[in-house]
Amino acid sequence: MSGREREISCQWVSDSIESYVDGDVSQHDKAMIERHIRKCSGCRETLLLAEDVREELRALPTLRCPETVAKAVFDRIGARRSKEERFSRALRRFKAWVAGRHAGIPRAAVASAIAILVIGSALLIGRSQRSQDPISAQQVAEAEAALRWTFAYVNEISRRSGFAVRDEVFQAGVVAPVHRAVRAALEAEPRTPNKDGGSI
Amino acid sequence: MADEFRQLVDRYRDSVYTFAYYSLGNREEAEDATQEVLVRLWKNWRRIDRKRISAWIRRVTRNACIDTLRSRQTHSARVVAGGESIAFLQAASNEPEPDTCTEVVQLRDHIQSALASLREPYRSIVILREIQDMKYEHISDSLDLPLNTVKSYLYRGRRMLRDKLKEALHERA
Repeated sequence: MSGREREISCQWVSDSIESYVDGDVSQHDKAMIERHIRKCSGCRETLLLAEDVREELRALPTLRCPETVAKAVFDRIGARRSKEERFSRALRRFKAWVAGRHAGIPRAAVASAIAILVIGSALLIGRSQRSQDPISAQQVAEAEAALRWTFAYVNEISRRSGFAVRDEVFQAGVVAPVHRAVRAALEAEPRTPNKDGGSI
Repeated sequence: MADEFRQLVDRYRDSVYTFAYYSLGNREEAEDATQEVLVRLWKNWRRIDRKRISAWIRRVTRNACIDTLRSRQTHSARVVAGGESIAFLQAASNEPEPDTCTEVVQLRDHIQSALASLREPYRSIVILREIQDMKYEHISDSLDLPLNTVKSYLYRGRRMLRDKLKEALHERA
């Protein structure tokens, strides 16, 4: 075998040796590899190392997971479940409040207040978007007065039912965002001067 | 807590921990990764098809290890030194002591750090196949790779290990 042939063959053998060790080569390739290894000490060492590596890997043990890990997992899950249960209780209380069971507030009154807020805001914003005419100062004043009345009504309902619901649900989730949206929509629209010619 | 979930934890925690340890090369990160995997299992186990749960766990474990490796500043600093790792492995596995042939000890000294330094997906495939004795079909399923690709990557991974070990053994000599 010439030097160049041996070099090419050694490269090919080195590339093929892992599949050879696993018995995953054709009979033809197996014969070529074995013929080469008989003549080449370098590739014999490569084969021995490949076999040793595979044996050592397979000898690495399956480890036992420390008990502290499982305990930490169950502790975390327990803490998370407590948080979920507290949220579920709060949600159940809110639903009961809306149904009027706790505070005796009629459901229709709450629904009406929310409807007024939503519909009023939608009309104002929609109207300003549809119409090419700027909103008059009087219309703005009327809309703001209506909204203030509605907020006062909702606040009163909330006061009677408990400050927690007002602060956590209505104020943050309904009142504040709607108020901001309506104000932003109104302020974005150009204003017409008052009937008496004063500016706004 | 559901008995079924506890049974899942008992069934899979050792294999998750084993994979994480050989993938990351140290106990602390392996424990953290195992914990993350089991907590994710808790959040999702009711939705997972029971027939596919082991593939799901393997995938999540691998991803957790990859995330840990990415967040490391330097990889090599966290790998356990060879001598300590052999003692730890023996204690953690309750296996009989290995033979004390010098060459074997030298190879074992380096094999774990060489394994933890392999890049993905070669490292995962070598661990799943050679250490955890998983069938090619299951590896293919877990890693979402074709079967022939799994074999090809396994051979390439072992070859990379062989090259690293050859270097390490020469340096030591």
